[in-house]
Amino acid sequence: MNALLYRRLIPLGIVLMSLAGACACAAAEDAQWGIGFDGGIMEFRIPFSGTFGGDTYYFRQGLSLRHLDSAGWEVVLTANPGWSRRENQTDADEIFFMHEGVESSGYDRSWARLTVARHLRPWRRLTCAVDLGALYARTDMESAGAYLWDFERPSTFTTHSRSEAWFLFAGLRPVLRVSGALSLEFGYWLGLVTDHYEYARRTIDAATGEVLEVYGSERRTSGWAACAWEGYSRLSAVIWF
Amino acid sequence: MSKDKFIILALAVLVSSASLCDARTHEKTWGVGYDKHYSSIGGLTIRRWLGPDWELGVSAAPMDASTDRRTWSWGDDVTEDEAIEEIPDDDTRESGWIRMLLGRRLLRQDDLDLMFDLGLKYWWADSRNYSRYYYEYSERTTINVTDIFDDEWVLSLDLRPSYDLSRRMSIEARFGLKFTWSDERRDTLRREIEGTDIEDVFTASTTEYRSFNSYGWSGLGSLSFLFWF
Repeated sequence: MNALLYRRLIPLGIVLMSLAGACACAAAEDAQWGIGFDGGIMEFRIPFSGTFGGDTYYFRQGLSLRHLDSAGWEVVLTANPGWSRRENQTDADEIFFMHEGVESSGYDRSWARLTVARHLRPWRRLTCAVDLGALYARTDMESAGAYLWDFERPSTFTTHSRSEAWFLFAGLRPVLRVSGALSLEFGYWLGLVTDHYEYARRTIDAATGEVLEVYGSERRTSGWAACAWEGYSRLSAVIWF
Repeated sequence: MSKDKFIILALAVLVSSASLCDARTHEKTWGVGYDKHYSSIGGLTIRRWLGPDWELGVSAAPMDASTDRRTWSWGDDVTEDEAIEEIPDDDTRESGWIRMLLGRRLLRQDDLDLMFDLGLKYWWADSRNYSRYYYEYSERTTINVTDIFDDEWVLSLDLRPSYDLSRRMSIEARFGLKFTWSDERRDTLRREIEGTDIEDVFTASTTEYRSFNSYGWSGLGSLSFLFWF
């Protein structure tokens, strides 16, 4: 059900939200629509937390849809759908450690970001947007396979983890109009991250079906985090029409 | 026919078939360039406009490689000429990719074109990794031979802004959604040799991978330059 939700309903929801936003804004005169690629790998750091002195969250590049009206108000919806599945089958003459049988793994990982921005008075081709926005990300990962820790009792395992994160942020975003139809930009944001992470693992005796081990963990993290542009590879580009 | 020759033949067929189409209505007719895209290694690109709004492209590159490593060691009691050859490695890879593109112009403003592309890419790698470990004190030798065949298909829907820097030169980037499916077959032989005893262990592994993601540029290196004539 979760896979169905994230592979079908959320992308559909993003599209419907985009269409609804488009209809709501279409009446504005001299408004512009933009479509682009957010090259910025959003990398939020919560200092002084986590095992190594800081937790880092990465939200990689995404596709964006924008609307900019003549008064300088901009609405940006950026999203990145993603999933993967991997299946491995190994047959060996001799089993060394744990490597025979079928292993499978996969993830459903999506995030969406909604930003409302006010563009300040432009200076030549350069303007600066003041952003207020929210980002939601969810990752579901699962794996299953055969284990051979104990040669007397071959076992199978399943793992599942889920991470849900929110980032509420405000910041500045310099925007350069390269031409009437193309702009480049990057952002500096500061905000509040909350993250909920769950992990569960079950190990089962392959012969008897007996549950050998159940392990679970849960973690909640929250804190102030910053996200800044680093390097030209994180420029975002928008085509306006 | 080797795969490299197949790429060259495919390029020739595509280019000749594209030349049958009428492209006189557009200033850009033929284009050549270098396409980095989402492949680790870029390749040569040939483009052809098919009328005012349609564009056909093909990109391809070989990615063959061969590594041959030899290591010798010697001590005070032997000379360099008498050194023991310890860990020879011999890796070879015959690999390449080809990508087809069919593009439709969505809009043109000033010097900027926005294209909508359908792309299909095929990548393959046929590799053999050979290594030999010699255990000096036990007089045992282990030989590992691994044959790997990977292939990958990528179907993509792209938006491609293309900016004309001059009449003869344009620069472009690409972003969109891609669906990837790949398969890997890995056969390993481990041979243990100790004196006259030889023991072979075979392992076979297959991996299927499917993924769906958005993608785009990752730096100035992913920009493509095209020259038109």
